[in-house]
Amino acid sequence: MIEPPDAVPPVPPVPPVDLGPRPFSFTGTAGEYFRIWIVNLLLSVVTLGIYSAWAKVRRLRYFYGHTSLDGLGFGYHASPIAILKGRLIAYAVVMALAVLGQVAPLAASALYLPLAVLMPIVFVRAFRFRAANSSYGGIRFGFDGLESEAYRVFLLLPMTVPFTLGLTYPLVMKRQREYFVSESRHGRSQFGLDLSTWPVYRIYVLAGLALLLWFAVGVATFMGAAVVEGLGRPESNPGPGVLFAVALLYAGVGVTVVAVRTAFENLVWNHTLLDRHRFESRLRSRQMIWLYGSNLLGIALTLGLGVPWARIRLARYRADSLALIPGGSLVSSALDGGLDAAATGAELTDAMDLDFGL
Amino acid sequence: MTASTGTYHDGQTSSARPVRMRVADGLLYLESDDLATAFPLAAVRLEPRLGDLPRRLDLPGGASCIVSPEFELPGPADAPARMERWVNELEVRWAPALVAAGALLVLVWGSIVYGVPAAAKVVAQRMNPAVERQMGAQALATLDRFALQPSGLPEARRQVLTNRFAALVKAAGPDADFTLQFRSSAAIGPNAFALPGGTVVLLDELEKTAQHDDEIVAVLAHEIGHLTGRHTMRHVLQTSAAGVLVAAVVGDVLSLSSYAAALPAFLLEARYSRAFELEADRVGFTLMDATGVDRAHFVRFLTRMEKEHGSSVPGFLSTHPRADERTREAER
Repeated sequence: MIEPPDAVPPVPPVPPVDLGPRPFSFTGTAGEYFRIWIVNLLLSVVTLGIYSAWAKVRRLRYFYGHTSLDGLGFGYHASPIAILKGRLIAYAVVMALAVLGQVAPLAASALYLPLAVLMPIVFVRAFRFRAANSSYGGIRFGFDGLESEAYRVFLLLPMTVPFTLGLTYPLVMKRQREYFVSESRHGRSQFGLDLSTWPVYRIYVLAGLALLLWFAVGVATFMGAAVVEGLGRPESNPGPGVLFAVALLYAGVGVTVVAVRTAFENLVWNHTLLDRHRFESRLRSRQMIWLYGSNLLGIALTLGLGVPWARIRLARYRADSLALIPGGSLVSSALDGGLDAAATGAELTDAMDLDFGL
Repeated sequence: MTASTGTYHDGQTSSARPVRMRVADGLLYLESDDLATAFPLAAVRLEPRLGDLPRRLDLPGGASCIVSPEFELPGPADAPARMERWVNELEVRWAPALVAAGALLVLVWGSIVYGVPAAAKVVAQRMNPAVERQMGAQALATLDRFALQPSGLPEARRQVLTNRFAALVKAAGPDADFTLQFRSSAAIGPNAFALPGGTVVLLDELEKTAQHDDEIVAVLAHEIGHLTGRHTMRHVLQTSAAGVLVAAVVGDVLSLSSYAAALPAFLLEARYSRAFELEADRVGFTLMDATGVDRAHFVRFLTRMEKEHGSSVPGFLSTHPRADERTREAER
C-alpha cells in the first residue's frame, strides 16, 4: 500500500478579485433633503449669509454621504469656518468693486485685469480644497495641479477662442477637463484622462448643426407668425404664434446645452482611469433633457421649493448611470501613510471655496 | 459609559473592518478580533448628525470610524456642535420645515414687492445726475441709429409744443430740468417716452393722432411724471436686483433651472411697471390741473389709442395699465 503523501497544511485560498462592474448608488430622498435644505436656507437668510458656510457643508455631506460604491461611502470634511473665510474674502472683493465702480468707474475697470490674472490661482486652490476635503473609504482625495498649467488652460488657451471664431472652444473644454481629472488622485491612486480630439469636436459639431437647423425652423415660425399676426404694426403686442416661436428657440438652445453636457460627461467618465480601474457612464441625453425640463417646470410651479427634489433626481440618475470597472483589487491606500489629510488640511484653511462641478 | 459598534478605517487603506467601541476613563476603545486600540476623547471629533446618515468619528492620525446616526460621545458638546444639533432637530421634523418654507416665501415675496422697489427708489434718487444724463444720451443715440427718424414737424409747431412743455416743467417744481426732443418713427407709431436724465421724446405720429393740443400736453405731463419718479432707473435697478435675489436664494447648482425660479419675479415685474404708469398718471394729472388742462383729454386720448390698437395680451401680463383702470383714476 502506498502511503498517502504527507498532508499539506491547507493554504488559505486567496479570494479571487471580483472584476464585475461596481455600480455607484445614491440613497438620498427628496423629502429628507427638502427639510434640510429649507431649514438651512432660512438660517442662511436670517443670518445675512453667515450661516451659508454651515449650510454648504451640510448639503455636500448629505450628497457625498448618500453616495456609495462597493459598500463604502464618500465623505465631505471641510470646516465651515474655512469656507466662511473664503466667502468673506470673495464678498469683500465683489463689494469693493461695486462701490469703486460707482465712485470711480475707470479705476474699477482697471482692477478687473489683475483679478482676471488671479483667476487660475483661485481655481487651483478651489480644486485643491474640494479634493483634500473629500474622501472615499476613509482615504482623502487630492489635487496636485500646478498653477503654471492652470494659467495655460484657464487663461492663455481660452484667449484663442474669440480669435478663431470659437473653433478652439472644444479644445479648451478638453484640456481643462484633462487637467482637472489627471491631476486628481485618491490616496496614492492617480486619476488619468486622455481624450482624443475628434470625439470632443464631434459633440460640438453635431450640436452646432442641430442648433442651425433648429434656428432655421424657429426663425421660419417666427417670420410666419409675424406676417400672420402683423408684427410691426404700430403699438401691437406679439401674438401667440410669435411667442411660441421665441419659446421654441429658447427650448432648442436649452435642449442642445443639456445634450452637449451629457455627451461630454459620458465621454470624460468613459476615458477616466483610476490606477487600473475604468469607469462607465451611461447617461442618456433623452433622459437628461427630460430631467432638466421637468425640473425646470417643477421649480417654476413650486416657486422654487422644488429645488431639493430636482437636485436629488439628478444625483440619483447620475449615480445610477455610473459604474466602476475594476482592473484589480479595489483596496486603495493613502499617500505617506495616511498623514496627508492632516498635513494639507491646515495649509488649506485659507483656501477660496468656489463651486466648479465635475 | 457607552458601548456600540462601528466600521473602522485605518486611514492607510480603504478596507473597512467592524469594531466594538466603548468609552472608559476618558478613552475611546476600539476592539475587534485583530485590533485593540484607544484614543483620548479630547482628540476625537464626531461629525454632526445629519438625517439618517451614518456619522464619521475622526480619530488621530487620519483614521476614522463610521458609527450609527444615534451614536454620541459622553461629555458636554462645544458651541458649534450644539448649534448643529439644534439645526438637526429642526431638519428631522416636517413642522419646522413647513414653517421655514412659509417664512421664506413671505420673505422673498416681501423683498421683491416692497424691499427691492424701496431700495431701488433710494438708489435712483441718490444717483449721480451726470451718470443718468449719459445713460439717457446713449439710449437716444442708439434709438436714433436703429429706430427713430428726424421729426418732420415745422419749426413753428415745435415751438408751440416746447412752450407748453416748459409750462409743465415749471409746474413740476424748481428742481425740474427737463427737455423735449422731436423724432418720428413709423415702426413705433403714436408714442412718447421719457429717457433717464430728463429728456422726453415726442414722436410725430402721436402729434398727428392727437385731435387736440391738450391731448399732447396730457401725454407730455404723464411722461414728466416718469421723469420726476426716476422710473427708468428704478425699473432697471429693480429688474436686475429681483433676478439676482431669486437666483441667490434658490439657484446655485441648477443653472438652467434657476431661470425658472426667476419667472415669478418676472410676473411681479409687470406690476411694477403698471404701478409706475399709474404713478406717472397721478403726477401728470397734478401738472395738468396746475396748467389748466382738462384731465378728460388724457382719458380721451387713451381710450382712442386702446380702441385703435387694442391689446392681445391679458391685463396681468401687460406692462401698460388698461385704459378703463386709468380713467377711474382720472375721475377721482
